[in-house]
Amino acid sequence: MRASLFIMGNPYAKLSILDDEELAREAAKAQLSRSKRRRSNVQVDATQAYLFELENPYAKLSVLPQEELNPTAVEAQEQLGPLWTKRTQVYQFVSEAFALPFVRTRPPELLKEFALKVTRLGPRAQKALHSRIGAHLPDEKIVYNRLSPNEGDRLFLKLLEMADAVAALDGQKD
Amino acid sequence: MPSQHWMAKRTKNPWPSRYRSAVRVAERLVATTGNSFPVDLNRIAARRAVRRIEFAPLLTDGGLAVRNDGFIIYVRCELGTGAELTARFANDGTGSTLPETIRRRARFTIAHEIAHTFGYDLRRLPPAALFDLKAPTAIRSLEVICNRIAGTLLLPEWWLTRQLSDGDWLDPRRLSSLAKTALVSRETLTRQLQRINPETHPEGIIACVEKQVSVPVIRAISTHYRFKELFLDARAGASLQKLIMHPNLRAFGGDQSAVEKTICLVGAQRRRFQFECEPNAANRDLSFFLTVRALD
Repeated sequence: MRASLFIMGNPYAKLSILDDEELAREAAKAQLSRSKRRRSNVQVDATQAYLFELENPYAKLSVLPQEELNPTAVEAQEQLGPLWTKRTQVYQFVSEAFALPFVRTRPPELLKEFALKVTRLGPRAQKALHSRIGAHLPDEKIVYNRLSPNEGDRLFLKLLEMADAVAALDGQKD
Repeated sequence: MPSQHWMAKRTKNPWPSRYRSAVRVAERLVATTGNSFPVDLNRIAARRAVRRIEFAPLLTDGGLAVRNDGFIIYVRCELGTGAELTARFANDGTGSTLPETIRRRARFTIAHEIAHTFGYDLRRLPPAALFDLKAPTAIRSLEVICNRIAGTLLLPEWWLTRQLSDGDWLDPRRLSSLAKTALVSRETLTRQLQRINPETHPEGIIACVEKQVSVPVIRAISTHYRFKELFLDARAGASLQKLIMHPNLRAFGGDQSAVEKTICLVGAQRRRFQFECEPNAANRDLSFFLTVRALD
């Protein structure tokens, strides 16, 4: 018993009759129960938040967070969120995708037209447009693009054509 | 005062000196990389830490990507042809095996992207940019310079001077044949002629013309210094009519490749000139050479 107290390093502790192995086992058990308690608290929080969201205090209690309850709905919501809501976001995207830093601050008329069209598109059409443009982008990030002044207009016209093509997807064609 | 202002502006603008130094590097690079024509762009690219030249269905003519181990050059091609064209160019860096329709454009694009690597310090990897480009004017200047350096890589002045040392270089067919040998467009050859030593330039005017929707337009023009005061309105982008309008010339739907015309100059002086174009000048959407020489 004394040996055990010395090992514990606490002369004022309640005397224990457990030997070293048993003490270690007990300590492990206590740790496990503490972590279980922590996890159950988190689950309670998730359940409460879920109930609040539902605004239904009589709903069947659930210990699962929303993501686990209905993962496809959340994914679909994420997928269907619009990629570009502001024209500046479109300028930013074009500027980065085509290594044209100046179009972000001084967008040409055709790009302005494209950005306006894009922000009016629905999420599905925007996603389709994003993947269509992506098909024309190389794997590595471009730092310089060969683009003569005439070709700049050609690029933006092509982007406008693509936006028109995908607009049919959500019936928002102008 | 205006000259001081001009001098101050000149010292502030770093692009002319960057351009001159890049041209020197480009000339030396071609001279030490095989020295054969058409220029093998794969060998030049390898010297500039370009790890791969890849054809891809881009929306622009080409692009340059920087990686930890060097650069990747991308060139535009039709959807689904990328892998084959990439393999073809890897086997033959002159681009001779590429389809005729894209051969010259692809070569110029690759040369242009190689020119962009001149703006990087290659002594360490990843390559570090030598200057920061934020202003649109700086980017435009860089693009113009890269076009010129691309021309130098494809047609260095020392090679062009050697070619022009003998014979009649105001013969449009001969010029066309030279462009074919170097695998460059007529426009590139004309633009490079603008930059050679004035004494070497053929004594006349050389223009690259393209028929756009029936109207022939000058794409590039190179003038011998003795002709500088003549045909001042005949510039790149202007209609060919600023240089010549003759219904018998093939370029205007006629059946003659060469016509003579007397032109009144300042001081009531009259001079006779010969205007000659290539036989293909009647074709639409094709470029052709048109030359002007004094007959007296």
